[in-house]
Amino acid sequence: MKTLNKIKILTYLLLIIGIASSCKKNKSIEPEEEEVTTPSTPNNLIKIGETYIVGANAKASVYTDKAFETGYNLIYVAFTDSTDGSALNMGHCTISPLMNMGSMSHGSPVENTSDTISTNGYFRSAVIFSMAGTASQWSLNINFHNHKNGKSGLGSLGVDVAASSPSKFKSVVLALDSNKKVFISLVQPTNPVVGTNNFEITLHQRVNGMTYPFIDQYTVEIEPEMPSMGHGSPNNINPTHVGKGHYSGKVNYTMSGLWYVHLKLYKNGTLISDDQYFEMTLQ
Amino acid sequence: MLQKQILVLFILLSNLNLLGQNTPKDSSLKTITLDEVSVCDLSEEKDQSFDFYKNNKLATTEDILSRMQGVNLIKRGAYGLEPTLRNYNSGQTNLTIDGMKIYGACTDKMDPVSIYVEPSNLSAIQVAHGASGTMNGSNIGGQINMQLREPTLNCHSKLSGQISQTYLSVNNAYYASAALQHSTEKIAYRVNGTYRKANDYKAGGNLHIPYSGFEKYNIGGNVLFKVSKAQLIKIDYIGDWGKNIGYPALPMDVGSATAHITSLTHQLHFKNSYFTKNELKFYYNQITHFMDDTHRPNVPMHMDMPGWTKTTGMYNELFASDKLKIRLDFHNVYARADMTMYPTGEPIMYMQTLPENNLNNAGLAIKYKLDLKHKQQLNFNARADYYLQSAVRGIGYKQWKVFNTNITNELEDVLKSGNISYSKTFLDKLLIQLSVGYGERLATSNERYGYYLFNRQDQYDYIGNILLKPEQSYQSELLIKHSLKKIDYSFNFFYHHISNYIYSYQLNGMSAMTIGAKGLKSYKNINYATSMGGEFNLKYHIIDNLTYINSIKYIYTETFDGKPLPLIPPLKLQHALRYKLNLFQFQVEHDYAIKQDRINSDYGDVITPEYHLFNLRAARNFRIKSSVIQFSLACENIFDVRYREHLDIGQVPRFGRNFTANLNFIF
Repeated sequence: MKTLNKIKILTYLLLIIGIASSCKKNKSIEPEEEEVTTPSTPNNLIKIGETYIVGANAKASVYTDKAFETGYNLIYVAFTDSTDGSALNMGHCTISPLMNMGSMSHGSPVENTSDTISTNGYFRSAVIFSMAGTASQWSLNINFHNHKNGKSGLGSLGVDVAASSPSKFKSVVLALDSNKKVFISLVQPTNPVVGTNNFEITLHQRVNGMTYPFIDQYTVEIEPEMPSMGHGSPNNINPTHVGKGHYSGKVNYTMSGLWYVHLKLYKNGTLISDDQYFEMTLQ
Repeated sequence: MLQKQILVLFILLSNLNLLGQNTPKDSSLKTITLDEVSVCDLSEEKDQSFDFYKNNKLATTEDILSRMQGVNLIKRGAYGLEPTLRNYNSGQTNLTIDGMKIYGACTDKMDPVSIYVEPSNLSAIQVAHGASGTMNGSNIGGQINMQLREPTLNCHSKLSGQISQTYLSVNNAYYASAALQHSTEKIAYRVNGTYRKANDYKAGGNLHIPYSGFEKYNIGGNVLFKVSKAQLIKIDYIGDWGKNIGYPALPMDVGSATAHITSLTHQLHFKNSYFTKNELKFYYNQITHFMDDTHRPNVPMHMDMPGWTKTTGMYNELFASDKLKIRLDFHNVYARADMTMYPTGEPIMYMQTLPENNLNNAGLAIKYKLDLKHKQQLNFNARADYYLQSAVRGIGYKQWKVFNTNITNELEDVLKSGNISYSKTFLDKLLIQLSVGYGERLATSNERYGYYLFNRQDQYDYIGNILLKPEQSYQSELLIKHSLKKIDYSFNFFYHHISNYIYSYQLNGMSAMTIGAKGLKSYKNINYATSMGGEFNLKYHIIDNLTYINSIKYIYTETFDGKPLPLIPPLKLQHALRYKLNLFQFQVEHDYAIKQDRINSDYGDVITPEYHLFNLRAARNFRIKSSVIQFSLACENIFDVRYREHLDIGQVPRFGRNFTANLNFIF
């Protein structure tokens, strides 16, 4: 019978060892997920159209990452030699948008690149469309200084601009800042997710129909809210000015559903706007 | 003789035995036994005619628990009461079914696992307080183990069974249950089923309590094979389906609560060896819990809150009679709870209130009893546990990034506990037992990962804290038991010091999620809390047929800075006078709880007034050949008092005057 005891005890020891070793910590510290940032050139660019740059012996092909809509849009332009079709990677590209409303016309804020060499074949700019319109109304005037032949020229491409829904563009007249007309455009998040998101807006001022300088003097505060429940989210980081009218921070979402991100704008410590918000739906 | 036995057992186990907290066997009234474990024995004896004593009453598992020494129930509705041991809640105690771990799936603790088993599934409920109750898992408050009933081999060649029915007037409730057993020498089967349907109840003064009804089915099945002389194999299954369980104290009800409890057990008996038995069990327990508010009017929007737990585990227990027990166990539990809201005309809102997570646990426990000279005894038990818990990299993980917390980090803990008690019996009449113990408990999944869980009591939303350290409890206990010719009485005193007590605190400047909630809270370890108290039990045989029973319990708790802990019952006195004559018996009961004004306002405790409660019970047995018919009537809360216990969430009053009728047929 003693052998039986021994066998039992041995079995126990084996079981303990087995379990202890099977529980050995597999502590592979996984790296934190990369923050979602816009890569310099997305993979799935959509071609909007092309136009000859008359006088520069070049052809411009215009791409974007999503169909044009009101608000902030990235534009990628690739130039080719209109004679031999070879890529033109050196030059100056300047875009100016124009809205032709028949009796009158106006432009909109634009961010042109100062690069003289293309990135992955593209010159990247951004345009803030201030209203929806058809290709016969909105056009992109593309000025290219071709460093291959030293010539400059202009091309024009009509583009369709849809109304963003929910709107990513707000136009507001600020009585407390000498009735300035200010454009607020949402840059990020384009695809909001539960958790932490980069939050970025641009602020531009309409001086006249063709002049829209960025604003870098404001202070921005954000407050997310689920309108149907009335609650917010913790640990948001207010956007701060990061250059060229861009204000960047973090917005947190605790659950999926409809959220509002309320904006407060301050100038020299005075609240000048608190009734604007961006609407976001998280699936 | 047989009739007398029937009566004795009937008295001990029937619903007349409201005060039988100790539920002692008749013999224990005369002899002194150790009382570190209070057992409610629901089992039949070997003799078939005793089959019915457990089933004659259709009391719920929680009814039975509420009568056990040191057990208090936190009430949120007419059903689904959370058992607490003295001042320890379900997170601080360990509740097992036949040694198996099982976890409720509701983040609002609407489904303590005791609701998924019926007394007809069970043979006994064992309660051990403090560190003496850590055999099945590390904890600080003690353990409740609900022992499954198993069919007995070799005793009946014919079919046996019983049918029971109960009616309650206060909520127009009907309970029915039936059990059948068949056995041969090699194989035995047992099946049982229970059905309960209750409508909304009325509190004292004819106050209608809306959303307090419930309905449930329970089916249990057991098969026992005798493989060889020394080996047994047992398969157990319990299925439990609750429907539309109302929780008047909470803003939501339970649409459905389903449990599947399955296990396979192998028993090996040794002869002529130091070790007598080895038991190996594999199990899988699954709970699915759907909480919704579809029956509530005027809700801002419809909301669903389902929860799931899946527990897989095994244990091996090696016994040397009742002297030594060595237990080795392992389990994994997967838990998750969601919230989905449906605002009109807007996208669905979804959140994981308990992010998906896995807890792995391996433990080794030992229990040893040593009889010394001069009627002295030493009892020793110890346990060590290894825990590894982490959340799944999913939605919940993203949600938690909002708090700059990575919940997928593995949390590793080694917990240990032990208890040693020494006892000496003087003149076969007086027993004195002194115990010292130490226990630790892990923070619960809710306390670690919970995400905006609404607490009805203080009206705050809670988020977890993965940095919580285990609670550590240093315990001492003194038991004095004296048995005289006509009187038995016992005193129990305990003092517990809990370091790193897990306590709530408010997160200033952060808003709640739940509509109407006051703010956001989380948990932290506070310096310490203490808990002390005692229980007194008395049984006095006035004359042959007349017995007086008395039980008093009191707990005093406070934090290191002098605040009382929440949900602590006040001083409570329960006593009864019992008269029996042949097949007839009669009992009058009085329950008294003093006002509880030692409250924890941080937690939303409010003062609970005192109450007096009177009950009357009567029963009569009839014997027809080998069958027994048993009929009992009761009137509870005779004076229709509107009262509540301090542990009742939301200050919803309890049952008003209630007439019950119970009929059992045993064959």
